Amino acid sequence: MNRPRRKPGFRLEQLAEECVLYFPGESRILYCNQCASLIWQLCDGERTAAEIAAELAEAFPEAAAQIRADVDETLAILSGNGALEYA
Amino acid sequence: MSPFGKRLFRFAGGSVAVEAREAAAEAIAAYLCARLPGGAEQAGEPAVLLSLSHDAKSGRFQLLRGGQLVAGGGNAGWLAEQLLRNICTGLADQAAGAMVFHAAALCRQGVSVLVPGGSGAGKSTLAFWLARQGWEYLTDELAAVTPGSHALAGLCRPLGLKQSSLPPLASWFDFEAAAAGVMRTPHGVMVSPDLLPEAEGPTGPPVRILFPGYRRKGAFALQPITPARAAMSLMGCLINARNLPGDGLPAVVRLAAAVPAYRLRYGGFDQLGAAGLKLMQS
Repeated sequence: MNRPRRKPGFRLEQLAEECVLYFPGESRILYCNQCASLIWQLCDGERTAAEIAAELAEAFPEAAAQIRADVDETLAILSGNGALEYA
Repeated sequence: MSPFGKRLFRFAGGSVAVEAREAAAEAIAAYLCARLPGGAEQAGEPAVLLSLSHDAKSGRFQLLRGGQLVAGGGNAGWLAEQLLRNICTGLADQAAGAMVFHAAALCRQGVSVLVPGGSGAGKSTLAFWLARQGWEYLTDELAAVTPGSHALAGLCRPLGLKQSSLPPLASWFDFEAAAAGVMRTPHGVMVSPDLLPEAEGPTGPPVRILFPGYRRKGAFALQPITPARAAMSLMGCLINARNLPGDGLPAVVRLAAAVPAYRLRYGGFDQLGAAGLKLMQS
């Protein structure tokens, strides 16, 4: 129940290292910075939030101390906008 | 049948006709429509028909859309606002050939700038000030950008200024002296585009996107924003998303990726001197 997965139907447009997530038929659009964009892409229903944070910490060791909080916050925002479901 | 005929307007694939049934109504229509695209009298069936009439006895105006009453009253300025709003929404609702943004647009020496923003963002005020600096006025409300070529067109309507924006502009423009081209409305004034510089040739694609934010006595800041943030802000200003493939997002993303975007914060026109103008033109 704590493995986030991208809900199908969301449109993702990548712009350099950032992206925007769009909800078809609704007037909502989400901006994702590089970190949020990576988190979104790691939400495959296989990884837990902790595993996502661990992978990012390995890739960005200089930001490791902050990454878990960023992951939790980003997942909360994506969930709050209906972009995620949990396996 | 109107004795004054019908004006047919086309913009970004939409069409609207305006007919005035009495002389007082005709005067309002003539003022509003002078430089709208396709302003000459033409034959053809428009998708939206707006009729403006005036009863000389009661002094009341009536605005009908497709035969249904949408506004009525004795205040010519208010009716003019309603007519203009209905022209804009009528055109934008049908527009499918281009991205139509809630935006001002200006041009100078072939360089065009798109100024998107929601209601109250200050785009009309900024557009007016830029026009007073010599920029050619394209629109203060609806700008159409063609996907792919990014060709820019503006709905060249009278520029609407809110009452609160008049004092800071008073030192740049004498509204009283230009009264013949200025129509008072309940919310401020409309300024005829005939008082503003007009684009003489085709307008090139925008080279800058500028998101304005005016705050009285606020500090000046002109900050570049990333394409993703620009795309997000542009989507918030895209009026005809439902008429475009993919809700317009792919086309907006390509526009945001191609054109540098900035967020402008300012608290007075004296701040918008060298730096800001130079950046827009460079």
